Amino acid sequence: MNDQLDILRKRARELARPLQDMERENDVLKIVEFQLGGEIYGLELDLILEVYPLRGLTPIPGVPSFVQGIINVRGQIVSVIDLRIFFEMQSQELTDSTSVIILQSKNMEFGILADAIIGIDTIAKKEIMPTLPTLTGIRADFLKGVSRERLVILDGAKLLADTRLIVNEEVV
Amino acid sequence: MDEQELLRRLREAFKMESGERLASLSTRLMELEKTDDGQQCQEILEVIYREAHSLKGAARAVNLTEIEAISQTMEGVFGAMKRGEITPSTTVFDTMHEVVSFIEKILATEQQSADKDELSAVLQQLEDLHKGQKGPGKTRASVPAPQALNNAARQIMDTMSALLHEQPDKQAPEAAAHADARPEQAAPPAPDQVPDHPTPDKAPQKPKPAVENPHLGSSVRISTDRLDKLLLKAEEMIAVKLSISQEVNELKKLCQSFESWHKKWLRKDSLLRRYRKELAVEKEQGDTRSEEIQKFLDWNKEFITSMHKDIRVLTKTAELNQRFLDRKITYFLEDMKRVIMLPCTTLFAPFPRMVRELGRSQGKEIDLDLKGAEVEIDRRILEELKDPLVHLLRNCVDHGVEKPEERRMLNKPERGRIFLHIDQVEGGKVEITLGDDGNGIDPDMVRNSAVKRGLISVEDAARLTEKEAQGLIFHSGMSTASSLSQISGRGLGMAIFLERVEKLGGQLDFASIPKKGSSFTVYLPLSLATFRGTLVQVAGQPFLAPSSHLVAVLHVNVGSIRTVENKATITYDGEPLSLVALADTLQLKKPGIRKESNKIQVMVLGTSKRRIGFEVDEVLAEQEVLFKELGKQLLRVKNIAGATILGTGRVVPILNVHDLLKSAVGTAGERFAGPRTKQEEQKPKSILVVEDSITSRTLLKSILEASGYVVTTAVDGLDGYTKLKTNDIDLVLSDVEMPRMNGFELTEKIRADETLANIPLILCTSLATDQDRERGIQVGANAYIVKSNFDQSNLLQVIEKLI
Repeated sequence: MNDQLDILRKRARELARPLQDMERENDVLKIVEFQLGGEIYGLELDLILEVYPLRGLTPIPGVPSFVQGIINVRGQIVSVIDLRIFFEMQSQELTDSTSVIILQSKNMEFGILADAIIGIDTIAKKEIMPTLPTLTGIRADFLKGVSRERLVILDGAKLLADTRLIVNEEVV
Repeated sequence: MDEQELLRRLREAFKMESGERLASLSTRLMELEKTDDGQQCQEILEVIYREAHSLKGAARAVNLTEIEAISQTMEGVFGAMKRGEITPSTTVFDTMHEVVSFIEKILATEQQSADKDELSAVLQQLEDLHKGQKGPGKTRASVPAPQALNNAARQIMDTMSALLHEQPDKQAPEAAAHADARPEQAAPPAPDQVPDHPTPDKAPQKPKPAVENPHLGSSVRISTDRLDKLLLKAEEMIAVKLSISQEVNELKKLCQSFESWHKKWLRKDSLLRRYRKELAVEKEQGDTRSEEIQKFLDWNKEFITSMHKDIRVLTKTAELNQRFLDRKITYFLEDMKRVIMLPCTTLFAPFPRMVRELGRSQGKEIDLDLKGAEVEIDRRILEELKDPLVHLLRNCVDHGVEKPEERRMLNKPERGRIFLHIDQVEGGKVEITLGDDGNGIDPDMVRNSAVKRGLISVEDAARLTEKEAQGLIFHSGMSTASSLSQISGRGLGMAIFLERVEKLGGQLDFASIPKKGSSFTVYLPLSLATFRGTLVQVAGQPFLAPSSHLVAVLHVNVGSIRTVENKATITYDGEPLSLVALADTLQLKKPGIRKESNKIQVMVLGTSKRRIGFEVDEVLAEQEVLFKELGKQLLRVKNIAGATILGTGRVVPILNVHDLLKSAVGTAGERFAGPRTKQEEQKPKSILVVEDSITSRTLLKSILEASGYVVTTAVDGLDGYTKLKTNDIDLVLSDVEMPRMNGFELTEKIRADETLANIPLILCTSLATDQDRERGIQVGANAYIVKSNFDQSNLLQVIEKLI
C-alpha cells in the first residue's frame, strides 16, 4: 500500500515539474514577421493595430514619395507609408499579397506596406542582439535589434514617434 | 452688459457647482452621522472640509460675499471637527444641514443674496457653534451639545423661516405676475416648507412640478468629448445613406436590363409562334425533341419573368426604405447638430471686458456694442471663430479707434465704439459684423506697406483701386501697424482669419472709409453643413471640389483661349480669367486626358478674393459627402483638405481651394505671391490652469483667454500632471487645495520631473498664511498669489513677467 502511494507521489512530482522552456510574459516579444523588399523584418505585435490587405489605395498628390496614399479602413482614413522608399531601398510593384500593417500609438497612426506577411513569432528579449554594423543609412535609426535567427526587428515606437514621417506642408 | 454679463455667466456656473457641492455636503453629513469608525470619520470630514473650502473659494470668485462668509464659517466648524474640538452630535448635524439648506435658499433667489440682518444672525449662530464647543475642556467624549448650540440651531431655523416669509415680499412684482399662472405659488409658504421660488427669467416656461431639489433642472451636463463622438457616429450614417442609395441605383439598373430582355423576347415572339405551328406538325410525325426545347424555352421565359417581378418588388421596397432612411437620417443629423449648438454668449462674454481693458492700456475709452449674442451656432464653428474674432477686436482697438485727443479733433465722440453684431439671416446662415468708428484703413498706407515689403511693385500699387488696396491687408505678410505694439504682435494675421472663415464654408466682406471706420462682415452657416462636393476627374483620378467654392463649370473652345504674357486666359463673365491645368497644379505626373480634342472642361474655383479656371478631364457629378481628415500622419497636405469615402467605398481626396489658388499663382507666376512671414506663425503662449472649482476655472480661463493665452484646464493635481505630460504648456497656474493631488504635491512632482522642472509655476490660493506661502516657495513655485475676488491685473502681471 505504502509503496503504491510512494509511486503515485513520485509520479505526481514528476508531472508537476514546471516546464523549463516556458518563458515569462515579460521576457518575450511577440513579433510579426513580414517581407519587405526581399528581406524579412519583424515588428512588435503590441504596436500593431491590425493587418489589412491592401485594397483601393488612393494616391495623394504633393506628398513625399514614401507616402503611398490613403486607404479606407472601415470608414476611417489611414495613410500608407512605403518603408522601402523611406529607407532608401529598392521599391517593388504592389501585388495581391501586399498588405498594410497598421501601427498605432497615442498620437500617431499609419499603415506600412509589407510585400507579404509571414507570421507571428515569439522571441526571448535576451536573445535580441544589437544591430549589425552592415545595416546603415536611415534604416539604422529604426532598428531594435537582430534575433538569433538573423531576423531584423524594427523599432515600431521609434517609427511612430519620428517627425520625419509627418507631413505638414503649407503652400507658400 | 459687459462685466455684468460675464459675472452672470459665471454665477450660472457657480450655481451648478455649488449645487453639487451642497448635495455632496448633505450626503457626507448623513454618512458621517451614521458611521462609528473613527478612520472613516476622518476621511469623510476631510471631504466635507474641502467641499466647504471650495465652496468658499468659488463664491468669492463670483463676488457672492454672503455665501462666502457662511462657507468660511462652515469650513471653520468642520476644521474644528477634524481636529476633534467639536464632537459630532445630532444637534451639530441638524445645524449643519440647516446651514446647507440656507445656502440653497440663497442660491434659489434671484440675486443670490440674503437679507443682511438675517445673514449676520446665521453667521452669529455658526460662530457660536464654533466657539461654544471650543471650551477649555475639549469635550472629546459624547457630551451633548450645550444649550447654546440648540439655540443656534433654532435661531438659524427661525432666521430661515423669516427669510422664507420675506422672500415673496421682496419679489413682490414677479410673484404677483406669477400669481395668475400659478395660483399655488401665491399662497404664503409654511415656515417649514420648501417653496418653489419663482424665477422671473424662466417665467415663460410651462409650470414645473414643485421640485424638492432645485438642482434637478431640465438640463444635464455632458462632456463635449462624448457629444463629439456621438455626432461623429451620427455623421457616419451619411455613409450608410450614400451606400444604400448606391445599391438602389444598382437594383434599378438590374430592373432595366430585365426590361430590355423582355423587349427582345417580344420582338422574337412572332417567330416563336410560327415555329410552334411547325412543331405541331413535327410532333404529329412523332418527333418530340423540338417540343422539349420549346417547353424549356417557355419555362425559361416564365422563370425570368417571375424573377423580373421579384426584382421589381425588391427594388420598390428598397426605394421605399431608402426614402424612409434618408428622411430619418437627415432629421437625426439635424437634431444632433442642434444639440451641439451654443449661444454666442458662451464665447463672446469676455469680449466687452477685454476691449475695455485693452483700450484703457492705450489710453483709449472704448465701448463694445455686443448684439445678438443669443444666436445659437455650432460649437465647433464658434470655437474656430473665437481666435480670429479676438484678433480682429484687438486690431480694432489697436489700429482702428483713435486716441481721445485725435477723436476730439475729428469731431467724433471721445469714447470709441466697437460693434459686434450677430444676426441670423435666412437660409440657416449667420451674419457677424464687427467694426469700429475709428480711422478706417488708409489705402495709401497699405499700398506703401505692401511695396515696402516687396509684395507688389510701385506701379501695380498705384493701379489698385481704393478697395483693392485695402484688400491687401488680407495678404499674408501684411501688417499696417507702423509700430509693432504689444497687441498687434500676437495672434493671427488677417490672412489666416480669411482662411479660417473660408474653411468653415463662410465668406468675408469688408468696408472701410478712411477717418470714419471699418467693418468686417462674416457670413457663416449656423452649423457645419454636410459637405457638398463636385466630383471631377483629373489625370484619370477622381477628386472632389467643394461645391461652396465652385463658381461655374465651363465647356471652353480651345480656340477661345488667349495667351497673355505667357499665361493662358479665357473670358468668363466678361472678364479675363487665368486658366491652368489642375493636373499641373497638383503636380500629377500623368497628363490630363481630353475627351474631345477641340473642347476642354473648366471648373472655375474661387473665393471672395479671386477666381481661377482649372482645366479638368471631366466634371462628373455633385454629391453630398462626409468630410474626413487625412489621419495623424498627414497633418497638412498641400492642395488637399481631406478625403471622403464614396458610396462604393472608394476613397477620394477633397481639394483645398484656398491652397489651389495659391499654388496656381505659383505655377502661373501671378503677382502678389509673397512669402509667409515668420512672425505670423508665432504661437500664443499656453497656460495650464489646475483648479478643482469649475467656477474659478471658468473665470481664470476667460481672463487668460481674453489676454491672448491658450488655456488648457485640469480638475486636480493628478489631472494637471497628466495634461502637462501630453500638452505643450508654457506656464502652470494651480490652486492649492484640491482632491487627489494638491498644489504643493503637484509643484513637487513637476520640479522632480526632468522634462518639466523648468516650467514656470504659479500657485494661486486662498490659503494666505505666511507658512503656506513659505511652503509654496519651498516646493518650487515661482510665484504665490493669494486669490482675491475678481482682481486680475496682479495675476496677469505676474504671468507676463514669467513668460
